[in-house]
Amino acid sequence: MRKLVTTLLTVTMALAVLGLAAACGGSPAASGDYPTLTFMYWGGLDEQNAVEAIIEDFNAQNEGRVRVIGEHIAADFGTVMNTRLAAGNPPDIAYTAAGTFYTMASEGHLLAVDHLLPPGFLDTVVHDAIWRYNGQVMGFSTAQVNLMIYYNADIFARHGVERPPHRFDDALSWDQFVNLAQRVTVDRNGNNALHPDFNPNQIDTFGFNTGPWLNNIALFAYSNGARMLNEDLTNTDFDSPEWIDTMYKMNRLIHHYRVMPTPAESEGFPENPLMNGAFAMSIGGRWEMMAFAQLDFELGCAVMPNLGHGAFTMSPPGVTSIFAGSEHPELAWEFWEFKMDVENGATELYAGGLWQPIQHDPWYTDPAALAVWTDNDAHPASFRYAALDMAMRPSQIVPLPASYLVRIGEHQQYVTPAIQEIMGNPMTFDQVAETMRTVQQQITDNAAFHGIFNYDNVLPRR
Amino acid sequence: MSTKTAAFKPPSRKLFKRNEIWGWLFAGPAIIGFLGFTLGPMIASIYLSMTDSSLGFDGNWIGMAHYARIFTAEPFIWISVRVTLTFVAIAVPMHIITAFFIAVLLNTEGLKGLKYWRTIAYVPSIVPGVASMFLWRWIMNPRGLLNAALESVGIPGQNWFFDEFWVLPAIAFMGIWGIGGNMVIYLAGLQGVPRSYYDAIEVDGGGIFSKFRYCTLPMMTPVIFFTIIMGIIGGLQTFIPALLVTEGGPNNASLFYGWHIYRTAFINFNMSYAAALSWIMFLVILAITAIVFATSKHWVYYEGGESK
Repeated sequence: MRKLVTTLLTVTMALAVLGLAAACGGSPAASGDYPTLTFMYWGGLDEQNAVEAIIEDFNAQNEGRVRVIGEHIAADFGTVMNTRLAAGNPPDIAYTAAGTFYTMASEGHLLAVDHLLPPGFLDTVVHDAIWRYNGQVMGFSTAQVNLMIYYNADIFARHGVERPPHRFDDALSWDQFVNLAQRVTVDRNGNNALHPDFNPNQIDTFGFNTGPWLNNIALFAYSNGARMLNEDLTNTDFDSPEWIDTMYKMNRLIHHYRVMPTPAESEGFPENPLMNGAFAMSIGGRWEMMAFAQLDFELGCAVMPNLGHGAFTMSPPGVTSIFAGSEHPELAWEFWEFKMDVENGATELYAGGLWQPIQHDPWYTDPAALAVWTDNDAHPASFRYAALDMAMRPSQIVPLPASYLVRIGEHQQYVTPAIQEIMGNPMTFDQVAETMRTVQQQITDNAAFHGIFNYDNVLPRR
Repeated sequence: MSTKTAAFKPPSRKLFKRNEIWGWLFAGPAIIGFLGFTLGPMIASIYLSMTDSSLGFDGNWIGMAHYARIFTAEPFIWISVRVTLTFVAIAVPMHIITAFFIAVLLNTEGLKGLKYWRTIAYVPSIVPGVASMFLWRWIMNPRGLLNAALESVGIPGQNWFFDEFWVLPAIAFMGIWGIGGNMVIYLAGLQGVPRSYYDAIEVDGGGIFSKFRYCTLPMMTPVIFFTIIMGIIGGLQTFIPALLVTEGGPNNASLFYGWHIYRTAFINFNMSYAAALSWIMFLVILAITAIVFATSKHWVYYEGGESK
């Protein structure tokens, strides 16, 4: 009996040790003599299915030559990536969060791909979808995701109010925008925000909504003449008169005109607030269109208002990069190029409203190619103007802060609470100004610790 | 055989040796786990905290620079310390008093359906923290169940998690859901109080209050002491509500120290600085625990009479 127990214990322990060893050094064995590539990505079920379809198509076409293994990371992508890099086991090609791009590039984890690109390739790509470090291309946006105003056309029709414009040249002035929002902001008794009996404490539909996020606010700020960086590109510029004025305008939208909810109020909205009439217009990105397409309301796309310098857009995407540790960068690029093609495996994801190609040529400009992914119910006619036309106007694109502020997350630690404070509480102009000056001072005081700016994507326009 | 007839014999050296080997073998996995997965990384993180590395161990040696920054220039440190201590000050008494109160109720002899009441009171604490967090997020949403209930009796609802004033009390309130563990500990403690002490108080003419004040409470102090220590340590490490509900907002009102470490490490990818922040947290928890231990000799009663 004792012998049996001894044997069992010994075997169990041996197995445990072996198991540990296998888990530490384990990697899927290559099937056959040809190379395998790891592609690590995130995304919801739709995206996962689409990526798997792309991989399947690619592997089928390259049978016996190369095999891509998709690794879908459902949660904590950054932690998984971090662990792989720390363990010296990077993927060949992977999504990276925009906010971590520079950390990974500066630490040498990403491969410069300039030598892999076909001649003229960069000219086909939307200008802000190219991610550079030290002058070299180290990534492309995974998809273009331009921010714009989405609106519920049914609400405008119900109140007999004209829809917001989708053409750049027709963008509303600030006063026109406020007025439009007032006319579709409706209280519980059906009075709009211009009505003398309007009850600002019982609002059923707000005219407009945006989350308290730097990216969204920057669309107003840039149009108002503000820039993220100062003239000599040495610091952020949040205490400039233009930034303070923009933030004061946000505060007034919420607390004076009452056409927009406070961040806290917007937390109480029902599911699908745009369809359910919690607000009539909101700033959103491409990724929302897929969900909108499945809902029962008429979606419209509009350009941002023009506060003096034209309407602006921005694309806050994920980035895809090849990793420096990859043994087969050429094959990784081949897969990447395959994945970029709308007609390979995932057309329905482009047509359904989730992905938007980063190559304007041919996908925006060639009518036949454009029809492949936009000629459907998910894409209202206004989309081509509010999203695609805007994406091809470099002067009207707010450069994504993460694309030139190294350690953007740390900058946002200062800015986000200030935006929350200003949007959450009624304030005077002086109080807004003081809050913005404090934020700028904190950033200045801590700039050395948070590292440097990356000028590649900044110089033309800040 | 021989053992049947033999008188007691001290274990032979060989048997002793064999038992020792078995002892080590059984303890081995735990020891290896502790060395490999706890102590090893802890020591590595001391080194890491003295480099400027973002990811991995390839940074340059910068000595105590991170620690100097924490105490001189770090703008979030005092906010997060204040938030965390405030939270502990709200949550620990709230949870301990509630758990104790419920345990006393559930210790009532002859209460109808006692077993069921005890089960009901304990069950929520076995729901995983993340799952219950999502549930409470829904209940305490500005348009959620709690506000609807309050408004039905004429009390205005609040923006619980999204209001600078309410966010910490709201998170602490949510934690009451998980006090079942403490409650069971109290219940066990309460049942260990000898009946004869109560009888003595009754003989002396004491009522229910005297019984509680002069018998139950003193006899329970070792248990209360234990739960306070565990509560403080747990409270200081609070992090999940910030991760899942508030992200430290609004306006840094729920910037828990644990969340600040997490975002430094896994959002901003500054591992070395996060390691330094973690060590400060470790030392602070150690210090606070030591202080609570030091006060214990003035108020914790041990039946053995070692202190009072």
